[in-house]
Amino acid sequence: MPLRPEGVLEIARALKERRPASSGEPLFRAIVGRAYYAAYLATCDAICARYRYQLDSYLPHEAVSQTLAGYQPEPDVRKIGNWLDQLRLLRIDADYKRAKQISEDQSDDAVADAEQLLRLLPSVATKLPKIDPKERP
Amino acid sequence: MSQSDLLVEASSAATTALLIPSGGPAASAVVPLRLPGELYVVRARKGQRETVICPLDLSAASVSGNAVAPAWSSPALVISAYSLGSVYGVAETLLHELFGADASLKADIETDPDTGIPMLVFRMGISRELRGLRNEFLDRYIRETQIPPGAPVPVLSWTYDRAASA
Repeated sequence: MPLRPEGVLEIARALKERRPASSGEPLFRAIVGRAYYAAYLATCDAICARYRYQLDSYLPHEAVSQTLAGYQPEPDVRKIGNWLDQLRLLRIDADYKRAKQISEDQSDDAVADAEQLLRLLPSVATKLPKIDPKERP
Repeated sequence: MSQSDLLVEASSAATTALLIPSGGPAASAVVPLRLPGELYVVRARKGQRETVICPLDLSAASVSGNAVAPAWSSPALVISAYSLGSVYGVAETLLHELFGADASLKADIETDPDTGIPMLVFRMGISRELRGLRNEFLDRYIRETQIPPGAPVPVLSWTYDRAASA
């Protein structure tokens, strides 16, 4: 059964609410990562459905968020792109910049932004711009 | 690449169009061009993007048919080269309107470690108590800004003072 973006976001929520024994920054970073991937996968699924690509077609992360964030005709698409860009940058910080603090507030915001994105996405599904799939790196 | 491969022609707007055809050397090359102002094309190796170095306005230049884009050496340069000054200005105005005079905005350049692609980042520092206003900021920012075609879209980044920690 294909991985559902909502399932990925549920993990982020569960981590946030249940706070496993290993708490603090490792937890916040994990939450940020899951929140970003839930948002990214949901957006890719919507684009693949709109343009009838195969499920699991690879859409480059930067191309997805930047194209949507700069899509002038549709403010809600720009909103989704901006949330995705913010989450993408925060995920880069969480995964690669160990010296940079990731706060509980930022991880809470990541979950909230991903939730808003998943709620808004269906209403703009037919307005999403075309992004061509690429070969996986 | 020989000097004879260089084409310089006048456009209908009387602006010199600089065209460097493809088919240059496979190895790395530094090619001085016969134009005033110390103009060079630098190619690290075949398949790498060429760099054009000169003091001239290159907004109408192309290398092998590809438009010349500014190097990402500073956020101010990227903002200026891509005409994003008004976008930055709107972000700053909205930031202070919603989050107060103490809110801070700084442009920065980040690089995605997976792809090497640079990002223009607007780093915004606000009071933790006001972070619920982020959505209102985003709605107005989207309504009041236009990203010029071809320009990188600034990535918004939020940090909070007096942030809660574990």
